[in-house]
Amino acid sequence: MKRIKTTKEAFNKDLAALLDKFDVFAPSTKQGKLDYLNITDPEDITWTDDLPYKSPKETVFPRVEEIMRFTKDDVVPTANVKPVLLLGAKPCDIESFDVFDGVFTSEKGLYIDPFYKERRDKMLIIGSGCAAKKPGCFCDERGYDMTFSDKCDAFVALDGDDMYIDLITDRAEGLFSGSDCPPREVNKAPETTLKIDAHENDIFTTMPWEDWAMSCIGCGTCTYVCPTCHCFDIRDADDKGEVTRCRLWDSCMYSNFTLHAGGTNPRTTQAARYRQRVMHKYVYLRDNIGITACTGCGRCIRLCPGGINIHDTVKDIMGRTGKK
Amino acid sequence: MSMNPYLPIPARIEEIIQETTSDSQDVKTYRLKPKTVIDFMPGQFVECSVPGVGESTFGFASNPLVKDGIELTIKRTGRVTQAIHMLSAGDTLWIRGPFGNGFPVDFFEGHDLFFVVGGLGLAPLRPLIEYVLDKNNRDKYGKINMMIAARTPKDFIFTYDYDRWASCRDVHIYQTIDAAVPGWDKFVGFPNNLIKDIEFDGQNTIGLICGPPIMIKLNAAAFKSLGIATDRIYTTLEMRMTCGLGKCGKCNIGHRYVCLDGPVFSMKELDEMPGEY
Amino acid sequence: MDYTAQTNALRAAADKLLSEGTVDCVIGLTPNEAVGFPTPIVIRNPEDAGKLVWDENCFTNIAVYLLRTTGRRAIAAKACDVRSIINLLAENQLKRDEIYIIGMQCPGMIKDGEPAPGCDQCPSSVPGISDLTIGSDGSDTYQDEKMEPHGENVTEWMENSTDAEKKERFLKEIDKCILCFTCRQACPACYCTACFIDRKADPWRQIDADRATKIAFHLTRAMHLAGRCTDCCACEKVCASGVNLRYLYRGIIEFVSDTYGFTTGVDPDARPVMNSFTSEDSETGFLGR
Repeated sequence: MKRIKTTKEAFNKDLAALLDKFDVFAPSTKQGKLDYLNITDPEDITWTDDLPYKSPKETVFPRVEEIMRFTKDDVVPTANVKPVLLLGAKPCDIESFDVFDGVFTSEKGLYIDPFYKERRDKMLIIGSGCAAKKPGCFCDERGYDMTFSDKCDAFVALDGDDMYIDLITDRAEGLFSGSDCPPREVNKAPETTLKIDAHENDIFTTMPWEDWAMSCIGCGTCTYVCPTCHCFDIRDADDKGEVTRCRLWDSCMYSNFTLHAGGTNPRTTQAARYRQRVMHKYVYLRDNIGITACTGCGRCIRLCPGGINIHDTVKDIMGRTGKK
Repeated sequence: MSMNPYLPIPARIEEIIQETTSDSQDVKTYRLKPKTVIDFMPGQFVECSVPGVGESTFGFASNPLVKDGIELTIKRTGRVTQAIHMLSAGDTLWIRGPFGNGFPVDFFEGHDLFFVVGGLGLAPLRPLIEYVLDKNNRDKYGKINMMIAARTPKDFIFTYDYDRWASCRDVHIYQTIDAAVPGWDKFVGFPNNLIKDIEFDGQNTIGLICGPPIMIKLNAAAFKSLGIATDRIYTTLEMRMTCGLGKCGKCNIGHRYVCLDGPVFSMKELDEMPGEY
Repeated sequence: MDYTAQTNALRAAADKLLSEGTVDCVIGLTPNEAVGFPTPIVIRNPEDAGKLVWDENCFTNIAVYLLRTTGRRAIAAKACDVRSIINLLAENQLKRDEIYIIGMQCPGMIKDGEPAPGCDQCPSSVPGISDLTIGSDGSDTYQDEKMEPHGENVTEWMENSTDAEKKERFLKEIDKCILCFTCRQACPACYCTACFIDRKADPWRQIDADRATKIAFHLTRAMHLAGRCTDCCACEKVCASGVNLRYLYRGIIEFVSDTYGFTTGVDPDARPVMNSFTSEDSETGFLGR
């Protein structure tokens, strides 16, 4: 891993040259709250050690995405999206792409999702570290180092006006100018202490889900701000006969998520929906793709109007199943 | 199937058959001619859409050995099915598939089969019935019982097939309705109360159930009490689905996806899964 | 201002109400270290009264939990919660004799180090109705306290802005929206079992390449909340994207006030304004005058 040193000014200049080629997403406060926003001017980037409010999953999994267009007797997939450069992604958010890759492009999933794959293959990720945990953050317990991740193409660190760039993959070579400097010292990742080893049936009916989900109002914010939540719906839009088919986010916390056309609903209570969210992340997906779908970013905890805490729920499950 | 599993192909509606004759007339069978041949196994399903309205999930309802077209039996229930019922012969539906696991027809070989179906539940089992009754396959399977239930005499579907099915070797068809009506000389009542009166060898029978969730549960219990082991009782589940590819998260039951690991499950498998269906 | 005294008085009240069987549960807020502000809790045992807390970060509107619980319920409610409760009483969604209101005086709450949305412009620190009074010093009388104005006064801004400016501001705000519907779920007045946006036969929750769905959702919801919004700002407080919905709802409230002389959340016996058409109304509707 090579490391180069440059200045923020020079970096911004190099970045400006990339704006034509990439849709650049970076942390910015230009809309108020700190979020990963599509920026058109490097000056709009908010260089910070803070974790943005929402996750960057929109860069590969847009909230609404046209996937195809119907013609009279054919259907044309929507193709050739502009590549995304995700800049300043925090280590927990970088980890989340592993989950998305597992669901959408791994062989275990049987089918490859072509729309996700196209975006993901073209995407360039430049990470940056966190200085401190926010209230609710628990990335360390999930085994992630908040200061660094090498699951991206490059990693930047700002020191005053100086900028250090770790070049991790070949794709990051030559994008930014700078002078060589000694490589970064990588910390050992912390041990994963928060995970569920119990079998799904040992947890499904035996845990006090009603108590845990008591204050849930079914708003779905947890799933919308989550970096790994990926459930979606497909809807058609008919604009005066021009029919497009779109994929859009859905949420297992909504009451109509599993509602059949005939009126049957296998998941009728908010407690069952909360159970689905926790189990899907910590049990089901681990069984299916081998990854626990939680990065410990704490967003769902900080933004839950009901004060529901997935970290405490999982901790409680670990205690009750005797696997600490 | 195309490389992109989200892309549907057009299928021309060749013929529309009115199935139920009750007042709402809400079940129709659509004979479709897809642009390219869709090869499927009994128990698999297809995603079918009306552009601009949306997509919905239907089990194949026709003989899988007939390659020049498929049939879908569709009840008018929601938005998409409403739109489909507005279409006429000559119109186009868009379909993608096949998806799902299908029935383990090889495992069934050498066994007797006992079908218990309620209402529209006969539709996803019809491909299996046609498959085992095919002249090249009939000898691989033993005695076949069918208990077909419907709310009223007017709610039976595929009635035009019953005589042909019954004319095959060792096939016995029983019909039952929920409540007695004048002129009805067949069974009355729920199948789970009736199957004990029908002669079959529990040790060598595959039980196949399809119907509303409560019917699956009651008849599985009935089959079990009559000696069919749970790994020989099969059903096919209905769940809300969006993608059919194990990604959208809707049909998730435990770590399984009904669209990938199902829709056909044995009761043994279902007993090991969280009961969220 | 003595939050410790208020907390103690609240805990004592909850203990008494539950011990004596006056209520089945008490809805309140409990400390939550993970997020740094108290979050909702429903307690059913007197031993749990110590879990309740009252401090400067109790901005969450918990009136919504009255719709999610049954039986005789006590609620630790500040002025904005009580406005929501009054609206629910007026709309027949709650029975007054099932609700025991512990009126918590609140001079305005703090969220993320700043006055919580709407708090600096709150009409009164004192709940409109209550069964038990807990003043800001913990005693059973209310004092007169108010928060210093902070930032832009939305009401004044609305008065001094043109329609074009208001529209521009609204569109700028909803550009941040991700249509997660948390505002709706957190709103005590949004209690429809089948929201227009979730209707199966006619799904609105769809495509918004040109932000049409966002506009449709927020404007339709605003119409549905005309004469029902109590300016509690629960929607703004929970928004993950920081959408300042008050730039829309303040306009609705002013309109209802100017047109019908009605203020929502004041009188539980008042007929809801949108439910009380008279021929004297300035907008005559189908009478066509």
